[in-house]
Amino acid sequence: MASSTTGEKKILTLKGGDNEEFILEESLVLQSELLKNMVKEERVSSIPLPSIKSKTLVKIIEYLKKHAELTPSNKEEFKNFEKEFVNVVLEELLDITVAVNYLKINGLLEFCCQAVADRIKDKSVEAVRKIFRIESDFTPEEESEFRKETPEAFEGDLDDTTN
Amino acid sequence: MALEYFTELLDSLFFNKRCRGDEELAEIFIDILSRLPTDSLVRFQRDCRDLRVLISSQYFTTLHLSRARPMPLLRDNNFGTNKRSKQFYMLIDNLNEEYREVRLGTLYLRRNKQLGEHPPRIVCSCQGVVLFAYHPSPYYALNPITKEEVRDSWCQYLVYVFKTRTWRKIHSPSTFNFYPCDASPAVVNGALHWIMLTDLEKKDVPPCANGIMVFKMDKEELSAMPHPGSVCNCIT
Repeated sequence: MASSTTGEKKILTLKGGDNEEFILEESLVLQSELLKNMVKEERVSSIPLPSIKSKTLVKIIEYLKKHAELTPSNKEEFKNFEKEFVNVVLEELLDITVAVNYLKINGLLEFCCQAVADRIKDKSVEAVRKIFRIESDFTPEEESEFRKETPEAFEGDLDDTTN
Repeated sequence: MALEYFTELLDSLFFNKRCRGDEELAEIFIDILSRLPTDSLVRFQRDCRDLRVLISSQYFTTLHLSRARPMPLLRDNNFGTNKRSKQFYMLIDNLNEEYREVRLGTLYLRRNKQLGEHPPRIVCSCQGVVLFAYHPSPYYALNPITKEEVRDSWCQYLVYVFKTRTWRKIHSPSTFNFYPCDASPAVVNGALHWIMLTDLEKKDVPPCANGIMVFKMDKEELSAMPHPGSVCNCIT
């Protein structure tokens, strides 16, 4: 398959889960280990990513662009961008983290995991169950035992929201 | 091996529901968990059994520890004025860039420990486990992550190997069941000497015959010798 080119730069198409297409420079996607291998070994010009929502893909492409522009002089600006980047609802942040893991963008993955950890650290037991869709398999007796054992785990201003 | 096991475990758990069929997702989840502060982990152990197994596992605690920074523990000496008083504080985010914010977290001990007449004394901490000396039973070790504790009245002596960052059991010709006083040992003829406090099997008998514990550093060998005085002065 021949890659389409405009001038010198190679162009690549990414297809999100809802078939929306994103056209970008090939050099950008090389930040993803997964796409790098696909581009180098299989010489494809269009890559379908059905498991990634378009909304998520937009965010990730935005990151790739910013990261590619990173120089020692705009480090501070990039840090602010990163902070803003993870400032989305938790559900969306998890989608991004899962997608970044799939695409193997290592620097961003580390950053996302830390961001998720910062967001859930003050959540209540109940909130975490909702966020990760965990069903409790403890009996009511065991639950009340926990409350006796470590009452502090159920006290304080814990965050009950899932955002 | 451990990772494979947990990947399976977590895969069966909930990531199946979030995003079907990708086993690597369990790894991210473990990664996220390993970045959480200990009090959050203690709380999340209550979420479900699989999570409890994971958080208490050696694999996870080692991973969590690898991210940990040294953390000073402060002891509240005003113990006893308030029944719910928190005795131990951890300095969180210590010494950040500008020394401005210092947050205090609390190290919770089980209630019976908190309210004892003699609050436990921190002896030392190593690899994430804190060792306390406590009144009825001489020592207990607490893992603040899992809140698991080991209480025992016997001692085990190990040597820490800096090169490999591991502990190695040391040989002793007889079973050793003493614990020494806290003072630094004296070094004589290439061996460390401690004055013994108590023989844990015969608590009421002053350990005169085994008044001094000797550790030969070259052979890594433990032994005991009688103290030279006529009166045992280490027991009051």
